[in-house]
Parts: sequence; structure tokens; C-alpha cells
Amino acid sequence: MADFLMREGSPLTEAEWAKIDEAVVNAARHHLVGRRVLHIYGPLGPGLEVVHTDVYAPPGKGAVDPDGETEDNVVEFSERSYTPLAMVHKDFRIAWRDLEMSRQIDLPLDTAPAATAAVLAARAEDDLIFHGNKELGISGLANVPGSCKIAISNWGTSGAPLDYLTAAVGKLSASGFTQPYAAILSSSLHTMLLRVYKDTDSLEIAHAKEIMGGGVFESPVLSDGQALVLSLGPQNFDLAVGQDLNTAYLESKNLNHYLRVLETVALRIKRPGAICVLGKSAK
Amino acid sequence: MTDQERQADIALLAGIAAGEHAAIIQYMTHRFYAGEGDIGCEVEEIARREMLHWKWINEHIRELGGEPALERGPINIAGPDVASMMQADVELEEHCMREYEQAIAKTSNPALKRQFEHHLRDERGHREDFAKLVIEAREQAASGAEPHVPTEEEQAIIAMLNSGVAQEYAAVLQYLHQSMATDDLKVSRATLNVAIEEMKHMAQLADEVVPLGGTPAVEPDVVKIDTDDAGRLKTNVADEDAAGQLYQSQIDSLATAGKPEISDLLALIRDQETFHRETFEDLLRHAQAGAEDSTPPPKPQGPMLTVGSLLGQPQDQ
Repeated sequence: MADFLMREGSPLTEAEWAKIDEAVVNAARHHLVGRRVLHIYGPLGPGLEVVHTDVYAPPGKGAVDPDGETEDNVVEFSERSYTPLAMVHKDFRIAWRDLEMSRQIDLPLDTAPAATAAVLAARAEDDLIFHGNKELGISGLANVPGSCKIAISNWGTSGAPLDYLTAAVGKLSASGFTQPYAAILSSSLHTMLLRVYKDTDSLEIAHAKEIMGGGVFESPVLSDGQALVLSLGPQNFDLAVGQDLNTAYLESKNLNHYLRVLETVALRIKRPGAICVLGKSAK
Repeated sequence: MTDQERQADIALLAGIAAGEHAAIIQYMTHRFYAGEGDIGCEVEEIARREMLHWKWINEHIRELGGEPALERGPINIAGPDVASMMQADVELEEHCMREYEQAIAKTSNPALKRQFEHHLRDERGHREDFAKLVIEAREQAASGAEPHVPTEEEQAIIAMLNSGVAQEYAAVLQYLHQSMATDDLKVSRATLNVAIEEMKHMAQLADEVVPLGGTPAVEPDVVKIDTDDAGRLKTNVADEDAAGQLYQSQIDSLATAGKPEISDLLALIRDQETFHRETFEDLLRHAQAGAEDSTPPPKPQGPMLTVGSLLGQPQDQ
């Protein structure tokens, strides 16, 4: 385990660390949404502070000719920038008496604080992925310039959500962004997909999943009434991971133990046109 | 699993290991009396199965953090006829079946329950096999010859052979313990291989005792338990050296006894003990030189993913 996590100097045993790791990773895996539509680039190491992000032109065409002499037939980035690997973190405390009790009478260590910190860190990661971070000058999937937009008004009407999602797929496809697609919806929009579709005996979400191919997900991080449809693939965007989610020992204070769930990540959007944002306002 | 449950399971396993150990020795002793015919072969096959049970049980003990169990439960050689020996084996199998049934009820560890059920099925089959062997042995006894009564000279040879049986028995236990207690794969493999050869020596020597009218020894010499590989290997080197010298002195004393087949057997075993000593000497040198000389240095560990990609995974997972 990496030295900077300060585990070796901590008073926790290997078995106790294993319990904490299990709780943190399981809680995060359960709650993370962005990673369900993003490829991972890395891990690059905890020390790395920035990662390059290359922006590419919208999809063009491959060449077909008799002698391989076609000009301008190279895929190359039009712009390179450097994105900071932001640190996402949440601290938690293990009370010394809880730890002692667990050891004295062989009770399982209560990992609820670790799991809670992991859930909040997962939420912070998703917030960074979808909305970016103004202070760090990072855009997210929902607000990156260059994405396509669709205004929605009557999502509550039976069949309307599928019409909007189909329209988004149509827009992406017309711009050369192909399958698989994935939809991420705010909680309120997602709930309305759980209805029977018109006069069929199936739910709207079942049809939506068929249309998307890459899944339909709900995220509490998205603003109410907001949805995204994405053309998936690392050629469009990915998540650069410096240090994947892990737990470090911070300090002991008043005999209690303070730990930190942390990671370093950067969203790299290479082709904003692969994103279609649906919302009440189509700005 | 709480520590209390773990300790209870270790104690349960140790009790069962003692029963399996007793079965191995009882059946192997009966095998020497039964000779190498049908009955002997069947009994040996069952004894081999019990050896596997003993090994599995001890592996579970190690997994739970316990020390390999070398204790042995009570044995009943019975006799003097083979039929009554087979009857004693029926009774031992019935005892083992009860032990396994109780153990299945006692443990909450699903892996142990599964293992015990596996063994219980075996023991039920063995009980039926021994019941058939009782009948077969009675039929053979009706037409059999009277047992041989050893002469004074033969009694001396029996005592000499039995000293080897006890020594080999102790070596088997010592090396099996080491093969499970060590964390070094090379040491574990080597001690297991040597234990298997010592088991063969034990059977070869005991096989010579019965035709002379003797009873094979069923108690081991002292089993030496060391706590680290270097100590274990030093002990093994000294033991193998002593065993080689003992067999050489026995070969010399047999020169005038007119028993060339026994003399040849002892010479074979002596040579194999020399090979064992050399094997342990090599391992000892390796252990003393430090494992780092031959073990490649661990590769520096790069950053690793913990949560990793969830691409395409549904949200309910």
C-alpha cells in the first residue's frame, strides 16, 4: 500500500483496514453513476497533478482511394489543454472506544462512517463529472460548451420521454456519433420512465434501454428536469484516474482516529458534440 | 466468524484428525497381518483414503490459524485372526461416522460442513467394505495355516525392524507437520515428498515383521517440533544421518542371520535416507543463505485501481 496513505504507522490492524477498504469500495461502486458511462484512463499515480486533454474535431470519414494519396486523412487533436486531477475527498472518524470494543469482544468493526464517507465522495465525483468545477476551471458533461441541446416541456406525457430520448439519439447520430448511447436522467425524469408505455404492457424504461444500448441511469446529482444522452467511447470522453478511491490515515486526536477517503480524477471531454443535454431550458 | 467460533472449529478438527490418525495406523497394521492379497489391498486402499482425510483436516486447521494436529486417538489391533481385526475396523468406522455426524451439527462453517459430509460418505462406504471383509476373512481362516511362532533369533530381528518402524512413523509425522507449518513452498514440497517415502519405509519394514511372527510397532519415536525452517531442517539432517547409521549397523548385524531379503531392504532404505539428508542439507543452505538470494526482488507496485471502471454495469449492482 502506498506510503502516503500512512497505514503502516496507523494503529489499525491489517484485518481492520481490509474491512474499511471493503466498505469503502462497495459503497462507492454502488453509488457512482458517471463511471457507468465513462472509460477509465489510468491509474496514473497519486502524485500527478495534471493530465492532457485533447479535443478532436467531430467525426469525419475514412478515405477510400486507389493509391493512398488522399490528403487530410489524419485523426489528430485540434487543441490540447491540461486538466488538473482534482482531489475528491471526505473524512471520517472512528471512535477509539468503538475500536477497542470491537477488539475486546470480537465484534465486527462498524464501518458505517467509512461507507458514508465513500458515498459522499462518490457523490462529489459524480458532481465533478456532470457539472465540473468553476474554481478549477473544469467543465462537466452537462455544461461543456459545444454539446447539443434539446428543450423539454412535456416529459410527464406518456410516451414523451421516449420521443425526447429518440430525438437526442437522432441528433447525435446525424452528427456522426454512433452507438452505444447512454441516458442519465435526474431522479424526477427517471421516475417518469417507470410507467407503462402507452397501450403496451411494458415500461417506458425498457424501450429506452433498447434504444440506448449503453444503459439508462438515474443521478441525483443532475438538476431537476435535466437529462443527458451520450455517445459512449473513450474517443469522446473518459475519466483520468490518478489515485483511485482509497482510504488514508490522517491523525489521532483525543484518542479518536481520523481517516480520509480520497481520490484524484479528471474528466477529459474530447468531443463535446457526443453529448446531448436535455432540459427545460435548451441554453 | 468470531474468534470463539474459530477456536471451537480448530478443536473440533483436531479431534477428528486424531480419529483419522488412529484409523490410518489401525488399518495399516491390519494390512500387514492380512498380507498383500485381496484383503490386504482393500485395507491399504481404505488406509490411503484416511490419509487423505487426515491431510484435508489438517489443511483446514492451518487455514483457521491452528497448528497441525499430530495426536492420535485410541486404536484397537484386535486379532489374532484377521476376521476379528476387520470387525474392529467396522467398529472404528461406526465411531468415525458418529464423530462426523456430531461435527456437522456443531460447526457453523459451511466449508467444514461440506468437508465433513464428504468424509462421512466415505466412512459409510468403508464400514460396508469392512463388513464384507469380515466374512471374507472368516472364509479364508477356515482353510488357513497356524500362525508362525518366532525363534529367538527372529525375535531379535523383529525388535530391530520395529525400531525402524517406530523411527519411520515419527519421521512421517514430523515431516507432515513441517510441510503444513512452513510458509516456504520449496520446504513444504520437499518435506511432503520425504514424508511419503518414509511412509513407504514404515510399511516395508512392518511387512517383514508379520511373517516372522511379530507384531508391527504402532507407537512412534519422539516427534521433534521446531518453530522455524532453519531449525526444522537442521533437525531433519541430524535425524536422517542417524537413521542412515542405524540401518547400516543393522545391515552389518544381519550379515550372519541368513536374511538377505531383509538386508537388501535395509540397504535400499539406507540409501534413500542418504538422499533425504542431502535434500535437507541443500534446503538448509538455501535457508541460511537467505531466501532473498534466489527469490526475485518484488516488483515495485504501481498505482492500482480500487473501484475501477463500472462501464455498462446496471445501477442495482
